[in-house]
Amino acid sequence: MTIIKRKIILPTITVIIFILCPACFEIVEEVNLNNDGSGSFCFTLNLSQSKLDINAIMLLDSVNGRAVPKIDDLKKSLAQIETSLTKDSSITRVNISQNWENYIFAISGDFKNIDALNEAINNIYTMFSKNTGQALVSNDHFSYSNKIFKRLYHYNLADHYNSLSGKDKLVFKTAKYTSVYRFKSSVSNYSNANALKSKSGMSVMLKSSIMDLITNQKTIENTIYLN
Amino acid sequence: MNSIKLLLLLLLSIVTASFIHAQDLRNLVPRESSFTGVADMNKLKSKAGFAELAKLPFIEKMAQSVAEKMFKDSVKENFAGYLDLGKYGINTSGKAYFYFKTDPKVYYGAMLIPLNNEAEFTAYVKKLTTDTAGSHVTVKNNVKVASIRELKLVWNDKAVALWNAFISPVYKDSLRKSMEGFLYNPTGVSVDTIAPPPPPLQQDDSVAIVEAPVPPFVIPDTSSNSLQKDTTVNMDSNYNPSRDPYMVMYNKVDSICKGITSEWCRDHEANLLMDKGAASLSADPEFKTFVKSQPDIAFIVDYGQIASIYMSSLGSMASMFTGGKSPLSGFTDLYKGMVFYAKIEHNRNDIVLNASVKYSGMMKEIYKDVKKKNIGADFLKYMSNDLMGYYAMGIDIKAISKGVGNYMKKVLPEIPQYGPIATSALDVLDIFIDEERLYNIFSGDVVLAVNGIKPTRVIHSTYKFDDNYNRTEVNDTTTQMRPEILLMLGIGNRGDVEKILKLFNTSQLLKQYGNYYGLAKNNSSLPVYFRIQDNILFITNSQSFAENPVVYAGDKQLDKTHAALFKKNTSVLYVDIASITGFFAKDTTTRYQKNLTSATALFSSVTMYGSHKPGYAESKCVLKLKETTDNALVDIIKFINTIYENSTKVKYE
Repeated sequence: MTIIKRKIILPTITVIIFILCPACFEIVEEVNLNNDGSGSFCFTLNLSQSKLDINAIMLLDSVNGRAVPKIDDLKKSLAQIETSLTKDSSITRVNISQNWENYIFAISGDFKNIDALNEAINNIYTMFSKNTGQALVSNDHFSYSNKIFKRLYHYNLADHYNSLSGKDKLVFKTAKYTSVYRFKSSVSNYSNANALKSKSGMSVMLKSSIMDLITNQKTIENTIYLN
Repeated sequence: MNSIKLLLLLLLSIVTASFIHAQDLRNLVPRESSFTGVADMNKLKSKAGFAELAKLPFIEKMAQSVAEKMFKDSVKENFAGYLDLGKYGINTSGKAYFYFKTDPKVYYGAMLIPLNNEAEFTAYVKKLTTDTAGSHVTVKNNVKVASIRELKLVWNDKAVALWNAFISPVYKDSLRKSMEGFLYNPTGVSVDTIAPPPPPLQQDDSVAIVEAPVPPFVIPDTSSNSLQKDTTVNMDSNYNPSRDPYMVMYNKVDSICKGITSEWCRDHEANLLMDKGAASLSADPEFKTFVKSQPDIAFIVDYGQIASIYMSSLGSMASMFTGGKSPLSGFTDLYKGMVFYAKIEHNRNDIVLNASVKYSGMMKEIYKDVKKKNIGADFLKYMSNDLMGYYAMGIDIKAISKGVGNYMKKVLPEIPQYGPIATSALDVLDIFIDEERLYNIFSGDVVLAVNGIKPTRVIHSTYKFDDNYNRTEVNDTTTQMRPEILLMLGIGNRGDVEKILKLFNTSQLLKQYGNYYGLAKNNSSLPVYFRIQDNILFITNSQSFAENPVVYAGDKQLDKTHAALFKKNTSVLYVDIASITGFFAKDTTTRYQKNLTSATALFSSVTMYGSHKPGYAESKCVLKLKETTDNALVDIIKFINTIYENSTKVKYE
């Protein structure tokens, strides 16, 4: 019965999943910046809308030709990321929260300066690259000087997206991205036309679909001028 | 075994040829075959315009494959021309028979095809074997004999038998075991001089199985005997298999088996076309009755023989016991005398298979008290008219349990060592278990239905941002479309079922949500819910359904034909093929989308239903197609051609 379940029933359910509910996840990126360039970050991946599908997928050996990782392996990877970030003294109070019932994961911590934040992000990419076998390019993702905060965008996801199979592409169909940057000084101006400033004038938010980012219809690049 | 495949391919190629009427050959078919098939070529050709179908790329490709496999060595061009069999003395308007039979040493299969011109056929064989001098065709006991690659032919003026044989695996296994014993023969007797053992006796009530005696193991003499010096397998680069005694033995066994098979074939080939009279299929009254309606295709499977072959092949288990009956003989006896009859008719918009299973003596005993003849109708109102399929059963739990229990009490004691212990354990259990109460927990009616794609509520987390973009996590509900799966069990004693669910709840396997239960999260990540209503236990993946079971009425309820099926049968399987293939065809990323779309346009549904009668079971399977102008057989062949064309296009795109 186990063989029948793994080879016939569950793959059939997977096909049904991808037809009925192509993609339901969201990414939230939050950075709280102090005037001296230190601050805190929190990167959240929320898969709760797809939890029924993920529960079924986790029972399979592979999906779309890719091996399905075991939960224990994923937990080990997250622990390794936490250890790696903690080693860097310029990143403190590192916390990785894991909700395996609703599949919500968040990495958060404090940074002493923007370079430390960039280093932390590159470390996280390094850890994921080891598992996915993809090449890493170190980049600055943020910069801050002279009261100008920049979110930089180096990624060309279109090529990688186009190389995916049809089924893999479906994963991104309705996925969402939100970034929120909070400051101690008020925001005088910002460059991204799709971003919004809060009523208090101390925060900037950008919401986009992942597909718009992949197809370069929108960008997360933003230059924020502070008073 | 390749020749068996060739036989089947050849059968298919025969239907493309023209014809003249000929006699039935059932008197040449042995009555006691393990498998027998008959195809009425005349009927098949009248229903399907084979001349037109022969032009389809798929059929052309198949014809070429058959011709290349069979005639590669002898025919260089125009392969397909050699398959226009009507031109070569073969009568393709009669009935072709295929059967498979076992002998103590050899298994063989044969196809019998009527001839209308022996001389033309003989010339055809000579052409195929490039035998201009006629030396490949021999005459023996008024029949002609030849072979084309692995396929053997025997023919006279009435019919041709295409056949082949292979050594019985059971016999080969016993031969190998005997030879292994002689490997350590201290007398230095060469393996070459060892005669093969007698074949194992058939499993029979009156005769005990006697294994060929195995010589005792003797420490090898390491003196001059070259065979014994090399009893250690040398795995390094100097290993020479010709000096490995095990390889020598295996090769010897193969050689002996080939010799036995060849000798058997020579002794029996002329008998293939002999009228077998009372021992032929024509003397089987049940077969005569079964094919009275002149079906397109019919076949018979003797389950008893097949089970016997299978059980015998578990040689290592049976050989653990010496003397007396094999411990598996009780299970073999379950199928002894059990015969499966089936006939197929190809109609305009459907293909119908009618089947009948004649019970063995033991099966009759098991089913003798079964009274249940239908499936409860209460389930139907929970099955919507957009369902994708269902399987329903009505089991007489008490009668079957008693029947199986009595059967086990007969069989278990015969299993050495553990059998008597198991029998005693069952007797003790009888003291403590109230069987009547156990049988009545459920009514015996079970339905598993896939009710179509329904909205499913999913509560998930998302984020809300206040005016200053501070984030808070909130719950949100979305509706996702999922197939609604329902397993419905008819309840006999509601109180007992509630007690069971309560036990699972208190032991935290289940979690209670008001008037229904769900699997506790730590036990399963998949949604499974339990609900009792109307004396039915529902087990479903839909929380909405578990909260409030939907009753479908009017247009939304399942078609009344299903109620009729439930009323007259004890098992029903229904699959709405169009609904399922149409659903999967929506997946634009699949490379099978074209095939799925074609399938949706052609197929409607398949329904299988059956019921028990005294001494036998009857069943019917109807594959329904959508309205077309052609016979269903033609539609299916054209569909297969479409799949073939799609696959070749994908390869070259």
